[in-house]
Amino acid sequence: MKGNELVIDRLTKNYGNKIAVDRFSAVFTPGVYGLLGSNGAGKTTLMRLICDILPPTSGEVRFNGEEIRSLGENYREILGYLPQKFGFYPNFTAEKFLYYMATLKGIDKNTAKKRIEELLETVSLTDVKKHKIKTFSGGMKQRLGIAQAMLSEPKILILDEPTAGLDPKERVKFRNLLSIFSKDRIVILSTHIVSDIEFIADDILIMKKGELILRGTVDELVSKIKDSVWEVNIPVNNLSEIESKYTVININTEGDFAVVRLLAAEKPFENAKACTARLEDLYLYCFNESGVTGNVESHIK
Amino acid sequence: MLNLILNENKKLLKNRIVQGIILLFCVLFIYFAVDIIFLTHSGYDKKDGEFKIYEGLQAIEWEKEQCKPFDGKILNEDFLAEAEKLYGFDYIVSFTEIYFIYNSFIDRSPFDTVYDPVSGTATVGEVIEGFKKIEDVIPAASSPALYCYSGAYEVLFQKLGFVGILSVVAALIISALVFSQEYTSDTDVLLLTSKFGRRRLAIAKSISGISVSVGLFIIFTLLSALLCFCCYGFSGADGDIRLSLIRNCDAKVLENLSFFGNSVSNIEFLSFAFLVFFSAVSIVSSITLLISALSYGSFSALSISAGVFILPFAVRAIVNTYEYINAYSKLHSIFALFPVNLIADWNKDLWWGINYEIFGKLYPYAVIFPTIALILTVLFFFCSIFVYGKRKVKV
Repeated sequence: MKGNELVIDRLTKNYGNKIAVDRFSAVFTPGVYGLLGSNGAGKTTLMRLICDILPPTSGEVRFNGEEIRSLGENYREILGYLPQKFGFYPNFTAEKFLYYMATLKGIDKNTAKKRIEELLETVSLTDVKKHKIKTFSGGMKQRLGIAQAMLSEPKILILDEPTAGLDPKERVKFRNLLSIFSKDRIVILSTHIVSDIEFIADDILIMKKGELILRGTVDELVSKIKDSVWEVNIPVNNLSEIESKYTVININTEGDFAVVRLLAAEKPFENAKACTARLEDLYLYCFNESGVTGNVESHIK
Repeated sequence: MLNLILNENKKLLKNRIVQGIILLFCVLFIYFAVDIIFLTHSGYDKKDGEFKIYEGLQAIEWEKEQCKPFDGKILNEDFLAEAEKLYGFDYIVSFTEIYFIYNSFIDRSPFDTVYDPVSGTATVGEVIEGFKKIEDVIPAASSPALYCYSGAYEVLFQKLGFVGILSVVAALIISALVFSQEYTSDTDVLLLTSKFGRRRLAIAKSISGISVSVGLFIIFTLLSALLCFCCYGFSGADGDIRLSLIRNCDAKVLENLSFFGNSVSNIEFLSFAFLVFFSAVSIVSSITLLISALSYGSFSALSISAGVFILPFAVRAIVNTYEYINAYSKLHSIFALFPVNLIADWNKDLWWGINYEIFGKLYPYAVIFPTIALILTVLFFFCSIFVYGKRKVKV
């Protein structure tokens, strides 16, 4: 699997006046890539462009030097995709559904049988393989989804918000599965939940309003705000003053006081405590979760 | 590819709506069986000077016995004289609906009253006169009319109408589901990213849609045929349709068609009826498949497709009487080619009343419609494959 390369070259997708993906460029080699962005950042559109189920307005996606649209069936053969909204046939059993998908992926019957058994075992659905999918919980459906994505042993695995709607226990199970499946393939996983990728992604791409704004390992990204994250206790009445002067990452109100987590090049108050920067801090700052606009570059050392 | 087609067939047959349609066919078949075995026409026997009522299978057996003396005899004065001799008393019967005329000499039930919509009821004398007129109405044929008991074929033709109409409607519904159900169940994204999920899947789905629709029609036609032949017997294949299912048929035109050597035989007529409905089911299925591939929902596919096929009736309703007579009469031969006319006019003049002149030769509806329908079926089949193969996800 060494040597596989997926190149996204100035990919753009417009819907009328709205730009969903804006000149996105990136190179992917075998490894796990986390695509982080809030709702509406363009992650799903980007995923669909990579999977060639949406035509781009401009730009192209190349796999090992060849444009994916010209590869056609050959590209889809090495692609595994778990969409954000995973559709299924309610009256199919898990096993029958995987057999159906195996046929669509061009896998012969004997190989399909062996692979389906292995995958069902890996995703812990062996006991319920004869049950109809409509009886499955959300987590079980997602595990079935990743099983179907893995059927053809793809070289590229695209997972679009695979943990959306899952409880924490299911999310942990899913992360563990991902660790098993991610060996020697290009895995691109999009999410807006930082903890999903913080510990498994080799590289993280942060996407905002269709653009790639930051890329790097967790350490590289976090280092941009290292020693710049502070926590301070202030009266709730002073909040507006703080917000106007500093880049606020998070506010946690406790009665008449608020614990404010903020970015500042130097210690902002006497009682401010230095905190270890986390990826989530960077994410919250980038996506303005606290309602404060700002440019992270102004705080980069 | 075969695996893909089989999988698509299984998927279609697992669909609740399709299962409901199959159930409807089964109910129809049960109705046929009950109708023939228990409710079929009754007859009476006057030989002992008393009326005896026969029902169901007994009536069929009695009718066969009555028809035996006339087997093979052509429609001529001797036959008419004998029929007149059998006729002992007056009763009311229609003569315009010629289907009943011949049987009126056999089935002498006083309870059967069929009204002539044009001239009202008729007495016995008028029936005899009407029969004599048949010879004038029917243009000279190269072969004389051959009579044999054709109960199975007469009844099967009626049942074929019901099966055919239900099959056309079923084809509309089933084909609307084929592509659009992938969008409604959000599985289209998965399919479009799989190796065979585009053109090959489109081919498999199109074949599946048409084969399930046509398959249902064939299966239930065969079952109905089996039922009719078991109850009525197999005789009548060579029987002359002009004596049992007579319409305004042009014998000369009929004689141009010959699958089984005798173009005016029951078997010939039935084979044409089967071919016409087969073509109708195919064309309805293929057009609906194309609309299904283009649309994002089953309901919109069904509505648009139903609208297309109902169009001729909408035009008729909109155009006023005078214009209808003029315009529609000119367009009638074109509108006749819409499958929906089968539903409206399946038991009437449609079959033989419309002829098309092509290079100086007359061809009846039963030849032109299947030819055009099957050509269009192939065309729309390839169109739906092309459309679905190029499909991108709905944003």
